[in-house]
Amino acid sequence: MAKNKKKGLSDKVRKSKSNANSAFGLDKVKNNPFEIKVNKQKHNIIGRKVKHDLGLPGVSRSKANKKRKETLLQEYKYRNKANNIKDERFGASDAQISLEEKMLQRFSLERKKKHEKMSQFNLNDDEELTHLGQSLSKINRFDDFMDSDGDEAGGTMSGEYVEHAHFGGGIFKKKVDDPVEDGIKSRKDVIEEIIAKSKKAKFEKQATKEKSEELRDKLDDAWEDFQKLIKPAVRTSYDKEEAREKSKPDDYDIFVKQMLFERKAAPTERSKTDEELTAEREAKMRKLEEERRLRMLMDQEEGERKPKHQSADALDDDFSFDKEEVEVEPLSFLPQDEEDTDDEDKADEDESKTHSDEDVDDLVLPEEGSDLGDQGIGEDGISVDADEPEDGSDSYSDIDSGNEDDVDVESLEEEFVEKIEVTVENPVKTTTPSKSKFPSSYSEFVSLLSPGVCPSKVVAKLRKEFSPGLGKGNKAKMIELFTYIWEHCCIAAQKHVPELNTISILTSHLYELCEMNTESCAQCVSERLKSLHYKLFKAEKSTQWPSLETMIQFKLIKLLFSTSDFRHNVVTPTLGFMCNILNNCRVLSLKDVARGLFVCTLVYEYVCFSKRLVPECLNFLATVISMAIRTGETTQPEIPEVAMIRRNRKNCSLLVCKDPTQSDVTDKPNLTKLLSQDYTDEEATDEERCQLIRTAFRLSDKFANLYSEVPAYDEIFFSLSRVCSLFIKSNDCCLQQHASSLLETINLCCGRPREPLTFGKAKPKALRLYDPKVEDTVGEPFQKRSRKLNASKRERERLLHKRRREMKGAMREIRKDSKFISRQQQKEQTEMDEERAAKVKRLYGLLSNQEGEVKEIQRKKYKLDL
Amino acid sequence: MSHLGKHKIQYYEEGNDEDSIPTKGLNLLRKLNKHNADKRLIVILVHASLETVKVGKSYELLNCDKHKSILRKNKRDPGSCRPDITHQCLLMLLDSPLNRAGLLQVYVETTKNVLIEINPQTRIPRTFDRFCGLMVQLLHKLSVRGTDAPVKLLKVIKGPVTTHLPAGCQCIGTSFSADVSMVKDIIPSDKPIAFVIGAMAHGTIKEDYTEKSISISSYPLSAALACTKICSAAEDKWNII
Repeated sequence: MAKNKKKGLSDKVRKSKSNANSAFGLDKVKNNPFEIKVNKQKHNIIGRKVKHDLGLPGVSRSKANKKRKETLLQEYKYRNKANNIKDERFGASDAQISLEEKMLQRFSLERKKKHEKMSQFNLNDDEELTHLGQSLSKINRFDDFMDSDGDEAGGTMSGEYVEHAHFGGGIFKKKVDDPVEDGIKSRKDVIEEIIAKSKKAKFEKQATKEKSEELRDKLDDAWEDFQKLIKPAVRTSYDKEEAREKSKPDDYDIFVKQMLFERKAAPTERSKTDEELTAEREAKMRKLEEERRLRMLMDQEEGERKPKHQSADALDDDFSFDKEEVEVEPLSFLPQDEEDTDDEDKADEDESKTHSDEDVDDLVLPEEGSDLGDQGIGEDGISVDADEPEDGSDSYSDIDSGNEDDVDVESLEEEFVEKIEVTVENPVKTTTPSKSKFPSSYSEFVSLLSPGVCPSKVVAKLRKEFSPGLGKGNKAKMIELFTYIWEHCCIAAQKHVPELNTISILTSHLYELCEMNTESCAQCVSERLKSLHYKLFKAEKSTQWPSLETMIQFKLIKLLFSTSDFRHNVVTPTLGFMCNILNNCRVLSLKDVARGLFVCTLVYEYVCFSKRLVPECLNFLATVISMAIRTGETTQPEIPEVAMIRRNRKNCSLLVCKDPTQSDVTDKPNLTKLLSQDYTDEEATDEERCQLIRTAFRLSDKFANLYSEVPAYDEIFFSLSRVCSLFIKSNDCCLQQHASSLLETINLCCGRPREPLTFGKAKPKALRLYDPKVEDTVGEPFQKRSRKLNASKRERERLLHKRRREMKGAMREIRKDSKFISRQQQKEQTEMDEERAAKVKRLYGLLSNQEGEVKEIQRKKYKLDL
Repeated sequence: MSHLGKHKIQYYEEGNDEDSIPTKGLNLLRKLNKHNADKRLIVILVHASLETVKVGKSYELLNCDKHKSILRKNKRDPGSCRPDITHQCLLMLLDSPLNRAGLLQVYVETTKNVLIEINPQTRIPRTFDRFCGLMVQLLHKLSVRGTDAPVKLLKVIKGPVTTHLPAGCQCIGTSFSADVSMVKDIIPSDKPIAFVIGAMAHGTIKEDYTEKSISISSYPLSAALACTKICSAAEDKWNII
């Protein structure tokens, strides 16, 4: 309904409009195709409304002409006139209003004017009422309180007076009431009396007012004194502070509150079942192993990092589901160390996919047989050290007894936890005072370690007291403690009879401390390594083998850090150090051989996961085996170059058994004995020699297995196999079987066909594709590309543009104006000319008439003459 | 001219660092020069319906799915507004190995007679909406630059397209109604060749500059498929794998 109405309305409007248009003949014109000019559009865009697609040139021209006539022509007409008449009557210039209406309006205006003229004689119109010279409207009735008070006093007369004088009939009433005094008191007296009364009343009132004011002033004066008495009611900031201080809770309060809010029983998490725990452990292990593997491979592709491949179908924005992880950790072994030591072992056990069972055997074997590092020493240590610490001795005995697998950090941890529990349970037993001072130097630390106490206990105590969570600076103290323990280990290794079990006890602490502050500890260790390296190679320039202390440190590093990383701040230099040692140190005695083999074992432990090639090791092993070759005086066997380099007269038959019928040995060499300072070659037995050679074979075998996938296997193991075969040829002792098994291992992997070297396949270079730059298309089409200007410049440009357009338009108008004027002039001129011509014509006519008449007359005259 | 060209090359090379592709790419691009008479394939997509429409305050690419009512109001055939065909064709063409090898040049001629040159280095937007936005931008601004390259990737150029073809280039139209012939046999081994493909839904192409019309399959093909078939034929012929 409403819609219809609306429609009807709009229709009406339109109709009337069209009517009006038709009245002007516009409608007709608009429909006339000859009147319309279609402006051609270059780019027709659907949906865009264009203003000037159609033009009516005739209409617009006539419109302009009309306007000019009204304005310009008028001006032109009056151009030389000083005055002109201006019709200022109502609607004189308005053509819209009809004449009748105009007249009506004019009449009403006239009447109005007249009325206004009349009204100026009305006097009472805008008068202002005043009181006391002030306009009533302006008086603020409530602004002067005192005044009004006075008014009241003055204004209200006493009730008595009012009663008598006003409503009671005035003086006449009194006459009735007091007939006695009537005669005495005249009217004047009465009035006087009244006046006096009122004056008296006024005076009294004044007096009381003054009195009250006086009292008030007095009170005001007294108030200040009084105020001081009631001051505490008003609090100042000082008071507040004081109060706060007073109300501070004392210890008792604090304790009460603490006890109030103490967690009485924390809800414990559901204790996990064994399966869950194992699953969790496995998951964690897997994760760590994966991380370790990544670290191992991480940098291998660093050099050839390719630009990220973009899929052909990828959208060209930056969003991607899997961001490339960028590892920027300086030491990436932070949380993983824990596993790194044991996951290697774990991996041995678990990862039977990668390593065959045989492999595992191989890895275990050395520990039984040839891992001189710990076991031999450890055993010895135990047997030598009479005063072992009570607890931990049994737990570490398995470590010492040789299986490195048992040097599981896990077991260490367990042990450690146990120990801590022990210390927690009976704290009274510990000799150290309950609030000990943290040792400020190593010597102080040592003084804490009284001989009867297990060092582990002391360290645990220190760690407990100064654990980083308890106070500021404890973290630094822990690092210091780490250095002390490290130092202690070194010194323990330096002793005449190395206290190896002390070291193994402290290892767990070292490990945990290192875990806490991996970076700082790694720094400490690398500093130590640096100084060691300097001492060994730079300062002395010797070819002496390093002491056991250094080697123990290598071992500790192996335990603390992940050795399989591609690059590690501590492990990589350590490995380099060991290679240096193997390369540079001269082998002169059995002791040196033992040391070298120890280092080789360590190297094997370092690289057994990363399978990094360490040729120094292999060369050293070849040298050692070559020393066992029995050489005749005349026939010098062709010992490979690598072994020859280190051979000299002194050591060429160092390991040759004096007794060729030496029976096979099964136990590993006694390192402690071999490495003890007063051990010389003179007291060496054949058994020891055999043990060493056996160790060398074992190690070589392990390396041969480790490097089985190296492409250059043949070349790498050539010298070893050669030395082996020479050994087999020259010796016929019990060690032959070891040699032949090594040879077998090497031959197994030897001679595999290798892929020929080829050039990398060069892919054809593809044209690089660029993403088109998408801009916002908010603006109108075909607009000029907006250059990035600042706001003021853009505004300036805009204005300039506008000015140019206006200028153009104005010039066009002016041109048209002048044309119009000239046309007008032309018109006037032609009119004038025409007028003149007419006049001339008329004159000519007159004259010709005259002439004619003259001629007529003359003719008549002539006729008459005739 | 030559000076200008050099300058341009230098600038171009500066703009692209580490990869050695740009110089290579430049060489590849040089092949596409109008005056180069080496082998290459030129594809001209004609009757592409790329047209802008104003909806509300924004401009969009006229699309039969999106602007049904507008089309009805303006009495236009919805079948005539199919920018998606052009999109598919361009995707197929510019992703082809032939293009990556620098042996393809694409021109697009719209129903409104706008001729667009497409730089072989253009990565056509994968989604249709993005493509529409890009086309609107192109039709309004007349050129589109690359995000990180100082080159114009899409450019509205002056027609007719024949002025941009190398001299003596064979120009072949495609039509389902024409005789079927193997594209592989038509493509010359060492000369440029141009194919005209209609990027429309209905109708035939009648371009006066085509020498002859062929049908590349005895089955009706979509425009994009025709593009790929021709591209792969050229790849086979020119040993681009």
